[in-house]
Amino acid sequence: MKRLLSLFMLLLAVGIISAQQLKVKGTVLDKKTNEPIIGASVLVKNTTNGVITDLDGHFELTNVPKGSDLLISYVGYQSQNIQVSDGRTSIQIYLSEDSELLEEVVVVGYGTQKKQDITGSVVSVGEGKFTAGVNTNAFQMINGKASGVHVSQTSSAPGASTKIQIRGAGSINSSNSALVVVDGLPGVDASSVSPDDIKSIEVLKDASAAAIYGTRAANGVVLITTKSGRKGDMTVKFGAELGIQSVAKKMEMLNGREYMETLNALRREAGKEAIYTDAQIAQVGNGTNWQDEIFRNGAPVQQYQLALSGGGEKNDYYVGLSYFDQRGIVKTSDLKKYNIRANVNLNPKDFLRFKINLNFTRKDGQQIYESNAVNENAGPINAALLYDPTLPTGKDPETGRYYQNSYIALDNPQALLYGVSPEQHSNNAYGTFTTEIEPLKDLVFTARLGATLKSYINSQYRSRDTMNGLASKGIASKTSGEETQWLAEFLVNYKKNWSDQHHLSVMAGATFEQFMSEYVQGSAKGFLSDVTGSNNMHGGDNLNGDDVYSYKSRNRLNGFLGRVNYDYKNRYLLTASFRYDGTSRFSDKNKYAFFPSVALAWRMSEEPFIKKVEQISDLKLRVGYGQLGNQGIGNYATINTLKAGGSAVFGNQLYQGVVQSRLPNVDLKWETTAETNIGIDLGLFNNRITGSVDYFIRDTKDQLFDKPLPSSIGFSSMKVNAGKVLNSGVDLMVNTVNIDNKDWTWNSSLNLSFLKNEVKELPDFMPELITGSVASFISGYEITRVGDPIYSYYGYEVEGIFQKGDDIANSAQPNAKPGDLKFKNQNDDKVIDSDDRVILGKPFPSTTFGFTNSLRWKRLTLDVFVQGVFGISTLDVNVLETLYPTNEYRNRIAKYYRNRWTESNPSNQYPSGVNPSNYGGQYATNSLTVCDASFVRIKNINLAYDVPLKKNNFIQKLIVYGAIDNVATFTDYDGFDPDASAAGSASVSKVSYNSYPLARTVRFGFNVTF
Amino acid sequence: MNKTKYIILSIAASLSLGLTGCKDFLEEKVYTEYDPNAMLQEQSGLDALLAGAYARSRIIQYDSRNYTYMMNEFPTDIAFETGGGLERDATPFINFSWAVDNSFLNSFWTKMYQAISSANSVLNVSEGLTSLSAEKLDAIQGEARFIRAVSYYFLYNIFGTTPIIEIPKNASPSEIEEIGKSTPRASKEEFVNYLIADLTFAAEHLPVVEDPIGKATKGAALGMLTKLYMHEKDWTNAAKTAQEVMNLNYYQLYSDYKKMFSVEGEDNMEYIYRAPCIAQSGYHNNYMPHAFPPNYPIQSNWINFGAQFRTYTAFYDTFEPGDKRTEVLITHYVNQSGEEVELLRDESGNALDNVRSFKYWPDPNASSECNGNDIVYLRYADILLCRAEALNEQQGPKQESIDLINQVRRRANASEIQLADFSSKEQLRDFILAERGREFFSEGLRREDLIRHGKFISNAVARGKNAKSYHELFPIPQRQREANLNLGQNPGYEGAE
Repeated sequence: MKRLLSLFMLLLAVGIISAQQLKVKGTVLDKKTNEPIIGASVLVKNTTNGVITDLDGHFELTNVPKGSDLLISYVGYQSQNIQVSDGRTSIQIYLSEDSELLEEVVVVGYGTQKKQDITGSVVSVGEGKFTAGVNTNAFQMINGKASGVHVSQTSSAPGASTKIQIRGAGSINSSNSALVVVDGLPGVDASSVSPDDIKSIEVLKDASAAAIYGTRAANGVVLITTKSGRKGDMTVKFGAELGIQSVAKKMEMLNGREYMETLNALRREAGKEAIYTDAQIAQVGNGTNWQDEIFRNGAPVQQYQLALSGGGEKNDYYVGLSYFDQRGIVKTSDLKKYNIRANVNLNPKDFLRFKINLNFTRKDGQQIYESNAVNENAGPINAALLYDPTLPTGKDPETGRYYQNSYIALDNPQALLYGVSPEQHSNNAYGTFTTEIEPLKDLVFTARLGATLKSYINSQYRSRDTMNGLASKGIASKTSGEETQWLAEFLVNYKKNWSDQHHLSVMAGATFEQFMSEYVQGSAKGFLSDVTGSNNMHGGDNLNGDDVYSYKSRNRLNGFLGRVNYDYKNRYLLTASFRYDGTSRFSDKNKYAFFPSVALAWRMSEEPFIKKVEQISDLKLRVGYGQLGNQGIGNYATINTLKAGGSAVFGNQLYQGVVQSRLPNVDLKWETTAETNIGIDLGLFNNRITGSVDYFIRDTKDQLFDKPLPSSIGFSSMKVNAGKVLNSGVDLMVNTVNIDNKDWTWNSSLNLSFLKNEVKELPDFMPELITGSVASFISGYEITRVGDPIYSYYGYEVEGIFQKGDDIANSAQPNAKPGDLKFKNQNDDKVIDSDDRVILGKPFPSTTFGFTNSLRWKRLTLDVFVQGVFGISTLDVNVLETLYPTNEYRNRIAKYYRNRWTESNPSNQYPSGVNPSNYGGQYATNSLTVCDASFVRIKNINLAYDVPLKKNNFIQKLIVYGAIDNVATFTDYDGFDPDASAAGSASVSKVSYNSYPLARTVRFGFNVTF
Repeated sequence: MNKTKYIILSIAASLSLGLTGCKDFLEEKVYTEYDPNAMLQEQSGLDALLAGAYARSRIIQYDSRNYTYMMNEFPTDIAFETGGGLERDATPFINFSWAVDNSFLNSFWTKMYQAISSANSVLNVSEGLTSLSAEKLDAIQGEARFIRAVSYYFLYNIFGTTPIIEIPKNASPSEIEEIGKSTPRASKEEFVNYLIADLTFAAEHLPVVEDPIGKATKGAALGMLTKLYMHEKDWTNAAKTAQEVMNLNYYQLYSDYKKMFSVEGEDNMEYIYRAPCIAQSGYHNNYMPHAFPPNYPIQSNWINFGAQFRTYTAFYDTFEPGDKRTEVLITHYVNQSGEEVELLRDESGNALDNVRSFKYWPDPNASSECNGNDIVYLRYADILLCRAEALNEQQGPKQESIDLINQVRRRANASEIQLADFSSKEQLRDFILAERGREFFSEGLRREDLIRHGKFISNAVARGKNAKSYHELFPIPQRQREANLNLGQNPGYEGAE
């Protein structure tokens, strides 16, 4: 087909050619594959004299004036200029594929645009540019690839969710999560799409681009577009991959001997008797490293993907099937994920098109018990770090139970690993059915119906192996629920051009969405045996421990939207949009709000005076402004309701009671973000260097606040709008083609972001907001106040250690002992108290970078991706537990005790550890426990070989590759992974506590196309 | 032009399609909560609201740990705490270093005012209910006013007077907020009279019989009134009201001191007001997991916390041998490894201050931390000793006081005291204070008793604590003072005038 077409064009071209003078011959080849390019145009510049290459890529052009330029171009390739000189009458020309093509179409909200016409700040990451790795979530695929977009993996457990922050965190109390839109359907879970089905991911960073999504766009919008088929024969692609994972970093705790010696020494220094005898110490050796008992090195991960695509005259299709199977690096954890997708486009008539996108995801996961609680309610990772290293592994044959240290108030790590079995199963089906009618040319009506149906069953059983399970004779719980969502939207698009200079397109529409959530939760205790797990809950003892709970809620959104794109001569571009959005969550007074945006761009490279500058291939200046909303509050905040939960016992019976749920606020309205963005896109030297710089100011006002009320009225807070947070920063991207020839190519891509977050205004009723709570006993470690970043760490500055001979009695800590921490007395009064707290760090980075280098030698390609995150801190609860052990018998991070202060080692770095309450549990948030979590990570090294194949082979393309993920991390941070956070992926704040360790993965795989 | 018309028409069509019925579309539908207007028209709704008020007033589970032990026992000569994550939080209460922003104090304030708010809602709603008999309404209002007064009393015990809050019916949220923001602390007179009025009303309208267990009764109202008069050192009224409780002839000392606090002993006629507990999370008593010493041979359905509540050896020494009340004080045990562990004194005779009070004797059917032992706020022995104390304060040692004290001692198998042993009011007063310690340890009464006797501070100083006279009251929580600028701080604390 293609060849026929080329032949035809060749004939056509031949017809044009007239008389000849100087003859130039040559071949046009694809630089990468070295294969001839058929149908490339070869033209003498500024003339109509040209030819088209033949089946072998040859061309012959006559009548070429000496010294003139030949322009060689072909769709999808970068054009080249070649000067015809005397000696070069036979030339070989290599064209390279143009991945940065300006003709590239970029998906924007409710439509697409040519990249050159984009006026806002939009990052597009396409196939082949995604971050490689064991990805279960679309966000992971743009980790480090888009400036201004900070992706972090708060837990490395199989299937754990991923945190994404676009241009900082604007909201103090509402959601800071980005909106995910998959093929036009908003609100899809980013883990319910197979990475291999994704064609491109666009991030609408600035408000002018995102405002079309109105109330849900405040934290940016991530648009995921899945693949579709192309006209032609069916293409079959198959990929398989096997990875081997191991724990990237373990924590060094005291070993058995050190543990015994340290505990004894601490006791002696406190004037108490030692615990262990010399004989015991001599015998114990290294003891048990509990981390080794719960970690699984060499855990396999496998992925398989089959994709079928193709199309005819009036239809095309893409079907993707994938299977993902990961065993976790902590024993007993795993995830299996099945995904099927079908995208079908049907064009029965010229004026009628149907688009059907369907996706189904099934996940089966076995987790470890992860908990932010303490003592016997903590999880196996906590226990593995803190448990007594002198105890043997396995079960005590005498008691039949895992070995217990009955002083430590912690469960045995193996008991928690094998005795608690959380399981999650979920189905997620979603899809859209889109009808497009084009009654007149360039007038398109679109009706899109979409729905998401998600159901899940989460179960957990706590067996008698655990202390709590034993005390309750087994505890089973199950939650089952359904989340449904539907969407109906109606759009009109109209395009018109006048005299090839004015280009106008208009879009308007209305959307209706409903979200429903319903679940039932039950728990039972007292089972005859552990064998039935959570599958026999009616087999519990039916006593007081049984519990059942159900919940249902609904909220709805209705929006009207519109957009105008206009350009004059492709030089002066205007985009203006609005969205008028309403939610059921607000009272009639404030149900709807208006979110406008406007953006202007000037394609300076189209101006004659720039066109003259040959080095500049593209130059565009963009300015945009828009407003976004955030309705990230719960239901019912504006109405008065009574809720259950105030039940009281009389006799031995529970009597149901109700209490008022809240003090409603009918004035509640949208939290609004206004953003101004100024950007420049630049392409130099025939786009060998491309890049963009954006500066933004993002102002989030009318924050949804829990206004503290005087509790004397029975309510401690009420939701109100107040306060303002400013995020500002610079996003920078540079792509360069460093080397580009037949055997070698070297491309680099750097993105760099700088972010400043500042609370500008807090309501007068709340000059500061102190928050944070983890591990039951640790709270109030972060502050939000004017002039500082939101959720900054707030605590005491450690100056050093009190030494013998210091005048302690007259210091601000008169009760201190030598070896205790010495805090800085910030206000120089007589005492260290809460007024001496200072900002110790912030939970998000000020600078991030991602640096990708892709080096090709012939058919071998090496990709190296490095990312860096700077200016971020974390409260490290593992360090806190080390310095302030909840219990004397708990193990500790070794370095703090190997170098601790003693009389013979008057260190000024680490305290003595003797009677830690003395240096103040209430001072536990301090500059030792708030740690720098900056890091530079070689995230990924990928080596791929494009296997040479004979033409017309049954196999069209075969790529084999090997890769290493999380190769190395450079950081000062002590724990498993500086990127992790126990606060979860939905929270701005960050805290390190027993995170699931990071895996280093070695992967091998192949992709074959038939 | 034809096209343009088309466009305008279609946009208009889709917009109008959207606009019609949008208001209905965006109606907020409530599924799992209740609409107050519908619910509170019926008595069942009012009952549920009242149950909610009871629930909020109950100082159980961790609230009991915080109020009964941390605030009311750790600053005294009876008990303290070490170990666990709690040690960080307990230390200020043990060492008299609590701060104005102490979160436990703030939580307690909030909890009690939530109970008061619920009680006030019951009163507001009941006023408009015409379907109920006046008698029934009075009884419901009596319960609500009892809950309100008791909650204020607990606040008073911790903070001194606090604002008296009443919300007019149908007040708007902003009016409610304004009341909270502007109401200052009540004067002592106003506050005490308010409580007296509530408790007197309750005593008039509540039944004598406690049915079911945990409901407010006439005796409970009179008993709490007695305690209030004691707090005010209004000895005449205290003695009189105590006598009224006695005259009900409903209460009596339970013969078995140890059994009384166990689940088995819950049917005793000595408890006057209590929070019934069951072995179910959220409605439980979790004292025992804090009391078990390390490696104690616990039943498999029990749990032993890292946080350890320890009783001073010196306090244990105030008991005479044979006093049955020491049966719940564990001084030694054989641990799970078979080793004998001493808790009272070490081999050289030094106090270990590690005696364990098992007063809420472990519930055999406990589920992990959840024990079912009811938590007692007021019992008959307290009334007897209050009357003995009030009489002594009025007229010095008299036989009636001695007899009342001996009633309590007899039950404990302690030797009876004689009038002749006491030559002065002060002497008997000191004895009563000591006796109250022996009788009510682990019940959270020690702090108020010491304060009433003027020994709270001196006693703490004697234990080496840096206690000052202003420590007799805890500070008004900073958080509350920020929200209500008219809320004055107690003397001695940051922000006090």
